[in-house]
Amino acid sequence: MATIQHQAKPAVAAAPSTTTGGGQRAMDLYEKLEKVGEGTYGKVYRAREKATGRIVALKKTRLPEDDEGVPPTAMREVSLLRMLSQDPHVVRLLDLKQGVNKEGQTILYLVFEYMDTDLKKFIRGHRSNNEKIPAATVKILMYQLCKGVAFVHGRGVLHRDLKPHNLLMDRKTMALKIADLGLSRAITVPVKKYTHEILTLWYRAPEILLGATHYSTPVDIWSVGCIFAELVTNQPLFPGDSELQQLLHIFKLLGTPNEQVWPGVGKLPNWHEYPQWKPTKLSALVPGLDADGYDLLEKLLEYEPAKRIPAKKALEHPYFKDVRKGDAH
Amino acid sequence: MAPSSYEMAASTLLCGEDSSSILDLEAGGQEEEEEVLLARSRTRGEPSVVFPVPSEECVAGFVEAEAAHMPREDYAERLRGGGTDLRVRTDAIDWIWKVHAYYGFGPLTACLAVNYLDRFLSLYQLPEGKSWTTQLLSVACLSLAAKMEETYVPPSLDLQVGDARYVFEAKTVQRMELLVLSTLRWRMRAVTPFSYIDYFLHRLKDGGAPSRRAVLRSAELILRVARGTCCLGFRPSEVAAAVAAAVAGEEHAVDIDKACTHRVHEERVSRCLEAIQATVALLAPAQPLKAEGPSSGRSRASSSSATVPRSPTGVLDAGCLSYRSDDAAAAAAASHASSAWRDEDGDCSPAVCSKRRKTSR
Repeated sequence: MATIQHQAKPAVAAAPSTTTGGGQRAMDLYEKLEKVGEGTYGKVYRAREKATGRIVALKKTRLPEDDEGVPPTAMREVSLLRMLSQDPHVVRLLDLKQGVNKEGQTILYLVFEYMDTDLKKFIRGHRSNNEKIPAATVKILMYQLCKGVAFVHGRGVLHRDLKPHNLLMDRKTMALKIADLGLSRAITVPVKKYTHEILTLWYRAPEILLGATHYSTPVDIWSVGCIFAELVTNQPLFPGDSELQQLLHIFKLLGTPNEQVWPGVGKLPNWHEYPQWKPTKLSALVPGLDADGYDLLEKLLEYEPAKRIPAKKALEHPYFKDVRKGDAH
Repeated sequence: MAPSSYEMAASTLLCGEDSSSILDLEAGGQEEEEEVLLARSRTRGEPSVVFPVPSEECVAGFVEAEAAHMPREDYAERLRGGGTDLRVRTDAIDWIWKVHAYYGFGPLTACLAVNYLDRFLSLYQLPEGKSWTTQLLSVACLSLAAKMEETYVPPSLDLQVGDARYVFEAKTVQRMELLVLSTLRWRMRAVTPFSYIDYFLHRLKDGGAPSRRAVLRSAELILRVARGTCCLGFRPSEVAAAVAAAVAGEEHAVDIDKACTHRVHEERVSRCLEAIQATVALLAPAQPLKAEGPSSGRSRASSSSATVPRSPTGVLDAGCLSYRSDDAAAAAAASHASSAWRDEDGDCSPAVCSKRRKTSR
């Protein structure tokens, strides 16, 4: 029986504090060990906190003194993490340091709990070894993902960029956490477009690709469905390389939508006549799931946004029955 | 959860020429306004969608979080005493409203800007006798609010339209932004009355969808409340419940019980409602807000051509001379985030001067 390992609760982390210059420069408090990646707007380092020896992730961003001022993506991510960090399935922001570099430019360091890998690396590791991720592991990871998304949506926030690279993992515990909220938005704000933002297309919901301006939480659910399929097969489900190609990929596999399966689709701004493909069975697209798994996947990848299963409902789906038993609710 | 209907209305308005309507409703034009809105919704070719109300869970989360997004408790009392803070606040809000209308920002942006202003003023003592700090704070608060909520945010130089007495360089605005951010501990995802208004309007209509008029009127009232000081001590959830009751009460008799839950106290909502009704009575009819720019319908594509008003000659000269004559001092100023507005000499900052705008971007 699959269960999520429950660690003893850690001592409550000190609330994030913000410090401005003064005292010690941010880098005097931390020893950079290696660069481990790039977030939406900055480089990420593995680092050691000198005072405690704790390993953390430092996300560094330089603030050029240009017309933009403090970048919106940085503001949104920090503000949202200040709101969301208490959930175990959202990466924890430990501190925020503001300093100045040698050229006199302002530098922001976001100090996060360190997670040793991400879902993208995890999947790729299995793919290169020619092995599937065990079904029980897929289920545990998906359950945590749905819990994190349910929490974020419950706080009125869209992530908008859910993809394996933004889902951090701890290899030992199989803990999974949502990260990189730089493109997140409050649900109440209509979003006209991804302004000047270049994003992976593979996890993008069809209503966004068709130019809808009033999209909402279902766009994240679509991403969850794509990630679910990828966990099962080790391959991205819809790997398009342009917006049109992305749409065609989806339509070829799931069938071209019409007014019956998706009322209103014909009125979306980017809609026009597409080749009429018939849907392929999910069991052929994503071999390796049981009936409950296919049922959940189908509900995550519903064309009509209003019919896509909410994350909170997904947690109650029969697919997660054995995982839920181990959940200390 | 889906976008609030007020935001759908705001978004629709933003697509038209009359983008300031949501702030400047004339009573007689409401029915026509509704028809125009509906027509625009249709012509945009989007399917009509029913937006669900924020869930009980979502509302509970907001109520839990909202205290962290309010000014310090003694702030309302200080303002009622009049004096410097009240003058600073009034001047700042006047300017924010003008720029807000000029660019056609959404109502939530205005509400957030005032939230940041109030929280900052409740925690930080601006140096007295330096009126340019009020202006700089206004620019920073509106800029931060727009970045949190708008799709398009003008560069900070272009943001400084209207009859501003001072114009600040981008790096000066950035330093002020950083001061506001650290003072507010980067809690910019503020809970505001807009977070709740759909929820309460639904409750007062026994779960039915509020009318377009009610949504627009609610937004108008929330901004009027934000602009004034009468409800400063009330929580956003209390303001939202009271506004919903006031608006619904314009259409039919309202039992305020329906707006109150175990999370919102009826007595406080009633007092808030009384304060709002008193304010509305005093201010009716609404003072129309006029856009300051050449055209209130200007498109965003041309906003970069907006003329930045000239600084007063004395300030311009003093600022430029000071900036050029002492590179070491300028470098020192650059390394201290708050020094730009801590100057003891006179009423200006070395960074306050015009400069030629970059042509790119």
